[in-house]
Amino acid sequence: MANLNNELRVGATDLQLSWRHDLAWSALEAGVEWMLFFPAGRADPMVGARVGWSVFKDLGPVRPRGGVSVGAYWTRVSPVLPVGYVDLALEKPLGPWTLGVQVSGMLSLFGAGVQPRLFIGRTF
Amino acid sequence: MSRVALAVLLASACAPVPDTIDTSGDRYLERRPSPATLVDPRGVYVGGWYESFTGAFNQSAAAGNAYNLKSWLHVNVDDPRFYVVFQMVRTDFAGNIAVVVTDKQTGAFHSEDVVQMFSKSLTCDPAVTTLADSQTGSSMSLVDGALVFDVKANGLRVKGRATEFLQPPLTQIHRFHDGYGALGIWGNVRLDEGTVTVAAEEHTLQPGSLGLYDRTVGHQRTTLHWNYVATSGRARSRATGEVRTFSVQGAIDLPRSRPLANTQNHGFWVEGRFAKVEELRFEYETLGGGRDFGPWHVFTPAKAGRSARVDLTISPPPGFERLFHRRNQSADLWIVERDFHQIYGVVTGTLELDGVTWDVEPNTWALAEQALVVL
Repeated sequence: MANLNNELRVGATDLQLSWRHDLAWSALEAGVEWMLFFPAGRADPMVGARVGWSVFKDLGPVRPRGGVSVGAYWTRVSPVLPVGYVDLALEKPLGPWTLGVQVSGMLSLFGAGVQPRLFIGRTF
Repeated sequence: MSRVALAVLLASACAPVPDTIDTSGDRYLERRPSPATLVDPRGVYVGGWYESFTGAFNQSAAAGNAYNLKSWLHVNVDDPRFYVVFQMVRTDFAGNIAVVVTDKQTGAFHSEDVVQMFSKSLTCDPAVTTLADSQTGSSMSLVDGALVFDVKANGLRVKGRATEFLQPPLTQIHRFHDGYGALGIWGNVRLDEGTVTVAAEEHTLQPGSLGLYDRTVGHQRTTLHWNYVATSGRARSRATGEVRTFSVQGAIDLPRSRPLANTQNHGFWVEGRFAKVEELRFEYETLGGGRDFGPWHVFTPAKAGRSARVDLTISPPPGFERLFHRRNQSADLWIVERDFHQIYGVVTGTLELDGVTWDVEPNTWALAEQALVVL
């Protein structure tokens, strides 16, 4: 994450657990997320909820997907911190399982960033 | 339209900050009458050293990013038992209330810091004379030479009144790059009455204790890296034996400041007189990979034509092997990062003014800092 007003560039990692419901060509998703930022000194956590909407297209072996999502997080410095996302993903269905790679663009107060992500899905 | 907005956003985010700026045009060694405004019609801070500031506080007209507009009132009080430091800060998007109490008998620090991100609870007038916070019930005011304070931070509390002395305060408008700059007024106070509450126990601060304040407003640089020294007490003239009250305050930029700006913001008061020192240097040994420090030497190198010089050494207090050292290395997400060292100790040495040498009296304390802040 890069602060747009100063020189701070801070790395982050996250873990998200979510439920997604695929419709004909789009999907709704809701989940909880734990994110950890690594500024100097000590790691700073964020915990919150995230909802999103995406469109996808089945191309045989892979399924590209693009979407937007928004999260609201509790942090040590602010009780509610909003973050908006633009997500691009490429998924590989493997029976009931789905593997995927994703790039998320993040935008929040004073900052913007890009985050590569991996995900695993399971159809129930 | 959205493309234009995005371009403006990116351009403002990526505007280059110069490594250094030439401050010679600001004539920081020449005390001049107050300018009419803090910021000129181009949105640039009117840099210089002034007799006082009686102009308009039009900092909102500066060309700098509003994100960087910050105001604070910061006070140190040197009581025989405690060294007390407290401040209230208003920034564009946050308020901050901090109290640090150093127990001189034990070297123990009691430090509390309240950060109110995205809150308007802490208010500050444009001239930074009155600050109040409804959330903690804290307040500070500095009006007509009277300082009144009641600052509370998570159980630490310092309350009292003090009166300004050793006039005039050091008044400078620091001009940085592209509409960035700040008015800084550094003055001295003598405590009329006060208390400090530590661990639910209230202690009386000794009336007459000396202190100093930093009253600042402006568009700060985003990467700040500095050394700072503050001390006040009594000094004895080698020529006559006369003892007078003195105070020293000074700050210099360290290499990571962007931009580096030599605003020559350093000087000293000897009762009845203020003198700037043309140059101030800080020399000290860093121990344990930055976890500790050896004695600090703060001085003005001798040079022809320099009638005002300081030569001070800050050493561990009696009975201690090390300087009292407090470090705050922390960050808030992607918003603020700080690595802040404060050292406290006893100071020895001299002040030289117009050929007279003043020896600092024994048991005088000093505070010094090495800090890197990105905000």
